[in-house]
Amino acid sequence: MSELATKDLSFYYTKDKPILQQLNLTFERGKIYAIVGKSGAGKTTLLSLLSKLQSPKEGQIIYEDTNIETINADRYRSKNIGVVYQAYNLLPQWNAIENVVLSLDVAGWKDGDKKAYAKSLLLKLQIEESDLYRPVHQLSGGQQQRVAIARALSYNPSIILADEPTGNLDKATEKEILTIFQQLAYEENKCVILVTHAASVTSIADEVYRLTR
Amino acid sequence: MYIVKNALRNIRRMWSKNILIAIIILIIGFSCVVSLSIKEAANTARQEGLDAINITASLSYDRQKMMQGMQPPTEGEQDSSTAEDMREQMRENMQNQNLSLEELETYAKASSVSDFYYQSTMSISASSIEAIESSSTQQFGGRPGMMQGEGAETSSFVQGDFSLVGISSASALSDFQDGTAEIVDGQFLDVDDTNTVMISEDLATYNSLEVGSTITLQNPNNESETYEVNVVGIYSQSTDQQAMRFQDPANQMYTSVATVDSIASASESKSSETALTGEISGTYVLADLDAYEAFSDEVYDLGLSEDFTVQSMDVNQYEQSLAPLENLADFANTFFLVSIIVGGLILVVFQFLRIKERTYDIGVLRAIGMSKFKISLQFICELLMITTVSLVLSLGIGAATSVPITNQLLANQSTSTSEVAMGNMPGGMAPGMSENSEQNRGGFVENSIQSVSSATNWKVVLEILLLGVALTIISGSVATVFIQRYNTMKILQQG
Repeated sequence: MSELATKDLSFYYTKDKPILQQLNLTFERGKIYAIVGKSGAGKTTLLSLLSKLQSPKEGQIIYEDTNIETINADRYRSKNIGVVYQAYNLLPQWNAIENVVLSLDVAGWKDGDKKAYAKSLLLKLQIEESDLYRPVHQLSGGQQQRVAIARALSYNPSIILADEPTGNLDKATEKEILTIFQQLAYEENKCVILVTHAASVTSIADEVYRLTR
Repeated sequence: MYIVKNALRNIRRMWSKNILIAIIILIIGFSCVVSLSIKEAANTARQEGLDAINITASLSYDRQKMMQGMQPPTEGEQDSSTAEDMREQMRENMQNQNLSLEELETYAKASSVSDFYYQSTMSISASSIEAIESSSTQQFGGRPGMMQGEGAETSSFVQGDFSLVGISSASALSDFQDGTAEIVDGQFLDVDDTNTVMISEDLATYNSLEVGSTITLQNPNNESETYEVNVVGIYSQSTDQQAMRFQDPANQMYTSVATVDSIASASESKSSETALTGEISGTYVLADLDAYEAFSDEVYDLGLSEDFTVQSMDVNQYEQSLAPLENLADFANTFFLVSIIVGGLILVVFQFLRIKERTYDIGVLRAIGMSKFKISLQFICELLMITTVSLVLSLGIGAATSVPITNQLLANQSTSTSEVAMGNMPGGMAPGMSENSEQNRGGFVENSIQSVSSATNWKVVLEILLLGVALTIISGSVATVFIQRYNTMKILQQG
């Protein structure tokens, strides 16, 4: 059974210029998916539809057999999927732990010491202890990417969406981040969907969906 | 709970901007505290004044109404018979202006009246003593107790140097009740006795009189007509009023109504042309302002002519005393409304700018699944915290400074009120009065409330806190409207 699927999914701003047309894709747990295509092919639009930042014009997106249009968008984004944005989208004045704890709060986590949990997660993603309490805008791109991943993972969603996850990183950091995604898919049985045009990212994917217009 | 923590975190992070907002709210709050405190002080003074006031009322002929009811003669009629007819009608009306004792007692039966007493005042001379002041005897056309000009065509009556005031009960002398006057020798007269009087200390000293002395009173229009009275008490009065001789309190002799009646009766039997008469004035004691207002209606139900009106010096003085504070309260009310409107607008603009500035934060929060409602709540929470701290500070500063500020404004208000009042006096200032003399402003300044002892109370505190909540909700709703309109996707794309 697929974790997430698109069914005849179409999206356009003006009907004569469709961005996505009759798209049928399936995503399963324990696998890494790469969505590739040229600029303007609709990769980021597809990610925004999958994360319910926008709604399809036609067709459906099915999450665990349920049309996500019937699910509360805030609940869906705060509990069911974790999104790693290309621009990270962290609160810049807040430190790494605070950003992660905020996600836990929004997700309604009540259990345990949230700060300790966030710290352990960030350390696991190789953020230096000394960097945990600095405002995130003072961290490097790679470190911010790790904080964004930690935030997406914190409330244990079954699906991880990442938009150009290595776009701003050097080769060494890119490799480390890709390793993290592999661990998430293969060790933690998550469905990892990576929107990218980097060959290095495509190379670790189990399946590659190429978007064309 | 995390919303509150996040709100605190954001306030701390953007402390410089938040301090600016806090200072603005502090100034608005302080203005509101002072305005509300002035209003409260006026309310308290009004209530305390009402509680303390002993209301007495009297019935008097409404001359103003009579004048208005008569058509003034036109230019061509000035010397004609029409004008003469009108003057004759006025004289007749004036002569009927006094109410008899029976009539006064009828109105005393009104349910609102708690006590009634009356005075019978007679203008009289004395052969054995001299009046204080050396001005010549006042001469008026008409009988004693009449207005100047009344009955002028019949005879010329001489006004006496003294006033013989007969009282029906001790209550009639309110100066003795409120402590303005007190017996310094002898005793307070017995209202059932006849031919006994109380005289002022000044009059006693001036004429070497003492308790037990006999005074020979004389009809100013018939020197052969004399009456003897005994001094039973000497009183002193703290007020120092300037008046014509026969009105000078020092030249007033207090006696019983029976004494005045017996002199009037004896005088009438000697000659009706020069007979001495007592002018009766009744005083009604009323429990409070409500009773006074009820009495003002009841007397007409009991048959009082519409030509008469109910008047109360106490109520007039009470209203006069409140005038500066009332004016100040009106000003404070306007100032309060302006502060609220301006303050509200400033807060709305600030909240709008805060939201614009934090659009990216809103996008991020929406992207991780925080609801628009909770984001709005967080903004409201931040503003509420800043507002609360600022208003608590403004309450503290306002409470400490509102009394001196109110008193300073009140002093200015009293001065301007008295200046306006003096300007409205016929003929302006009296000769010899200087611009700034206390005597000049005397009645207005002395009677008005000069200071307040407390201004900020729990009601003000509650009003300010409710105001803070209301302003926060109003400006917070602006935040909610804008947040509802934001498109998360667009915010994130714009970065």
